[in-house]
Amino acid sequence: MAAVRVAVAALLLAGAASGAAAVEHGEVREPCAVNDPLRRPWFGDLHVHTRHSLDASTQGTRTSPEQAYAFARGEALGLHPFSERGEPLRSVQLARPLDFAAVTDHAELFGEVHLCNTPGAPGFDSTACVVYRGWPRMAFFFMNARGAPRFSFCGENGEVCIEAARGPWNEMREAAEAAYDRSASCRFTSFAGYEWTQVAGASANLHRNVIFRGAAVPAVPASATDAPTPEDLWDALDRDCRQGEPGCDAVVIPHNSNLSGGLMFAPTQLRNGEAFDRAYAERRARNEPLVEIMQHKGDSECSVNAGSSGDELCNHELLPYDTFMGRFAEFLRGESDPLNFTRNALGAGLAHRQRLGANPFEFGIIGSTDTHLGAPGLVEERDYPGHGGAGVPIGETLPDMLLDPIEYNPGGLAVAWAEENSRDALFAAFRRRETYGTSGPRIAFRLFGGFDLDDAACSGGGEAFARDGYARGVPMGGALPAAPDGRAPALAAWALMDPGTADAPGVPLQRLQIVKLESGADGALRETVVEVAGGPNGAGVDADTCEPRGEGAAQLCGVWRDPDFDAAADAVYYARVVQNPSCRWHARACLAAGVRCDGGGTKPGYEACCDEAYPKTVQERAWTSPIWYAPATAPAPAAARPTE
Amino acid sequence: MTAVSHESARRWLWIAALLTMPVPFYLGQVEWAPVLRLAFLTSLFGAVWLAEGEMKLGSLLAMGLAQTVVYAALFRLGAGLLARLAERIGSPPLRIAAVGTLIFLLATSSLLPIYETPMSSTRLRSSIWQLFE
Repeated sequence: MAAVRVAVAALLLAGAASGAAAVEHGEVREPCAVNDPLRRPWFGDLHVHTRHSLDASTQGTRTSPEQAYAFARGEALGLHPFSERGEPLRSVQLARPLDFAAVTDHAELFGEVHLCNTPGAPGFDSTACVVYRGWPRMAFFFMNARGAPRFSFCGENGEVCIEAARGPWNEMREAAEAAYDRSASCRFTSFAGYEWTQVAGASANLHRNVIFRGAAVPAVPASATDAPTPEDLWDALDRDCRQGEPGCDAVVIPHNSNLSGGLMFAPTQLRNGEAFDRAYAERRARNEPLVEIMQHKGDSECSVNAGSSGDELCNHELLPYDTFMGRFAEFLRGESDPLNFTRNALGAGLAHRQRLGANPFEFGIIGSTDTHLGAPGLVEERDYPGHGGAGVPIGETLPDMLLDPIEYNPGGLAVAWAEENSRDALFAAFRRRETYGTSGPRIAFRLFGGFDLDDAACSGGGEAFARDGYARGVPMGGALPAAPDGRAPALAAWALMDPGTADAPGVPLQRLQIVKLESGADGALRETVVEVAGGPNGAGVDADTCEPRGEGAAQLCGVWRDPDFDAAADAVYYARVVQNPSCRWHARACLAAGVRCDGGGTKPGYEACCDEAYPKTVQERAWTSPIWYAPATAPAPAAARPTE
Repeated sequence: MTAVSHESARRWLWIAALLTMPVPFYLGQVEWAPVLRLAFLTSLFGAVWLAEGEMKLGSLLAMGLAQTVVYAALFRLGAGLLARLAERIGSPPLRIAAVGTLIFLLATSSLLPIYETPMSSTRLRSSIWQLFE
């Protein structure tokens, strides 16, 4: 393991002697003591709910935004159930603090929930608020069903509730400001943000997180009540942020496309039902440079049942339903639409670009948790306490049962390659899509693409790898330049295993792959998954102890030159690395509860332990943002390359 | 069994079923609980709908009402059939004992946490006393 740490250090500290990179600072702060021109991977969580979210508060979550940020920085957090004196009966703490986080409570009903909880406020005594306080889990359904128009106590145009929304919003932005480390140590970065929470039809998820660059944010967030389509949201961000507040900028991050009923990446504009045009495609790519591929409610990369039948690794944390209501009633479950998955969306984006000259789905990748306990970065499978959202009721005692629906998981992390841990540096990484997502582990993962990359790039060490990548290619999130005659691009990927901690050592790596999607002139989409390092190694897990068996790799590196490259065809490449198998959270919980599935019977609350639809092991992983090739693409923008 | 006692048996069996027999219903989430809880939750939706109006709330209310009516009718039919079966028992004390035992079993089992109540704030499994906490 020491070797891994040395390798990590070599990769992460590479380039320290190259001089400071130029991070465009739009804020007043001390310069960071650590500023690495070859960039470092900073680990964070951009999807966090606290008590201000209706679906968190209706199940008893009391975590404040301030407490959520404190937890992300490494402090302990008390969780429900609470004693009669209000003391939490559970506590969680991160073994390793996060580098950055954003609290992203649902903006819808901010004002309504605030009024319902504030004695004497308008609406406090309304029927809706009385039912909300008395039967909160039921209120979740009717309050969400309400949508627009707002409740009657909000006033004719909703002005009472919009005004009341300032309370929670101000608390969130102030918590983000207070948690941000502006000292030279740059230990922690917090972003103001919120979740725009729209559904289409009965319950198809169109949710998006809005992450603001700095302290300048709109006075009130644009919720789906007032901005009901993504296009309306972008309008609101242009009006209230980019043009309305000096220094304000934001990125919008779609998430949970696995529950979108195919609508997250549907080929029509949601505001008017019209087909995409070039202006729309460019606007979407500009507003939505990232997509959350993995979270508490599953993996949205790909599915063997939805277009990726040859890729067995797509069988990872897939949900058995394709919209939210499938969670609550089996009779509402449907087959997943291929456009629920980011890989298919990336492919569809190539076809859009061929037709329109612009790609609406030119997005980078992140992961996050979507915790509804206010516990950012709580991604360990071990001792997983559930993330709450739409989970089981918890009263005054902890029920003896699986603490989350079995199809859920602890969620993932967002990782940004940036020179320093500051808002400006991280936000710039979001913009240029130099990000990746993990299903939880802190794997360090590089990807470069270029026609002139060194085929022996892996042999020179971490610093040389990064230097060569930036000098002769583009990093993840970038676009390849025009193809020189007769040359095929190379993709160079390097992954270092998560070293873990003394109590919970990391799991070795097993396979490093490049995924290529190509859209030929005939419009047909071709999908190729290539193993560039490692491979099936027979590693497994002892089912009786959850102890890992077999060897794996501390690091995997490979350079792959595309043998089937067609300079006239649009293509997109990304890398994926998987660890050796390890025990899934429910297997650990079932083991701890003494459940055996060998005919000995189970126990109430643990019936799902023996459901064979849910494998006992999981192969944790990371996905890079893609690198695109378009036949007429200009060279990658200078912003993608670090300053030498 | 006289006409009155048949009616009486049917009524008591029907009431016992409505109060205690777990049935699956959907009000945003599937619960297994007595029709009484279904009716209670529906009445809460109804109260909010009366105060607020709006189509989506109305559809939740309609869904609750429809399920309540269907289950109430089915149970009435079932109670009638059981009462008719009880009529075939020759001895009146035995008839009363048979009907009473059925009702007793329903009532006793309802004291156990046999109901699945994901819309409860505190318990996934509830007894009849915990249904309305």
